[in-house]
Amino acid sequence: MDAVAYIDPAVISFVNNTLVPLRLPASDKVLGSRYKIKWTPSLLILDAEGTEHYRTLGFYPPQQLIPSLLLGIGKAKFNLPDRKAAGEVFARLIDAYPHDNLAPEAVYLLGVSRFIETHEVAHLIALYDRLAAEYPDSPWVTRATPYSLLKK
Amino acid sequence: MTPINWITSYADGLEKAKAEDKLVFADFFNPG
Repeated sequence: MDAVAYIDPAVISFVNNTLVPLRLPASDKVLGSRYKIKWTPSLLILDAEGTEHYRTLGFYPPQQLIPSLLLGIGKAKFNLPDRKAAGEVFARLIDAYPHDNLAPEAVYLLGVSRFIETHEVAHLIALYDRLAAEYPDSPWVTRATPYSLLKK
Repeated sequence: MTPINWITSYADGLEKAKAEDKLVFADFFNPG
């Protein structure tokens, strides 16, 4: 990560401006155990209480790290819960990285966030339609298929 | 180019997250 992703200007700007970057050795006896760190790099999104909301493993190229962090931020906002903010983050991921392999999951979670916020099933139908049209090979289409039955 | 402003204290990281209303990006790494 140090040799590629963490020296990328876009990554540096995103991380410094959006998040609090915290770097800890996996061998830390207390924190490594608390977060059950078994491999490196383990990349986590935590809230200010230290609660984990997202985790991913392995090395990322710069162009894939930012969408991964956006997905984690969106999931944290979703859980907190701030579904409006979550939806904005998922929409940002989709708009900025439509071809990233995480974009279909963001489409799904954007629709769910909007549904929870408004209770309008149109958002569930819309997320299925968008996934089927734009990401037909994604497993997220299958996960959203029941929503297609909501159409009248 | 300014590097990533890593914090290396867990407590300081959470405190900063609270103060700035941000989430924490925690990288558990192998220092080698």
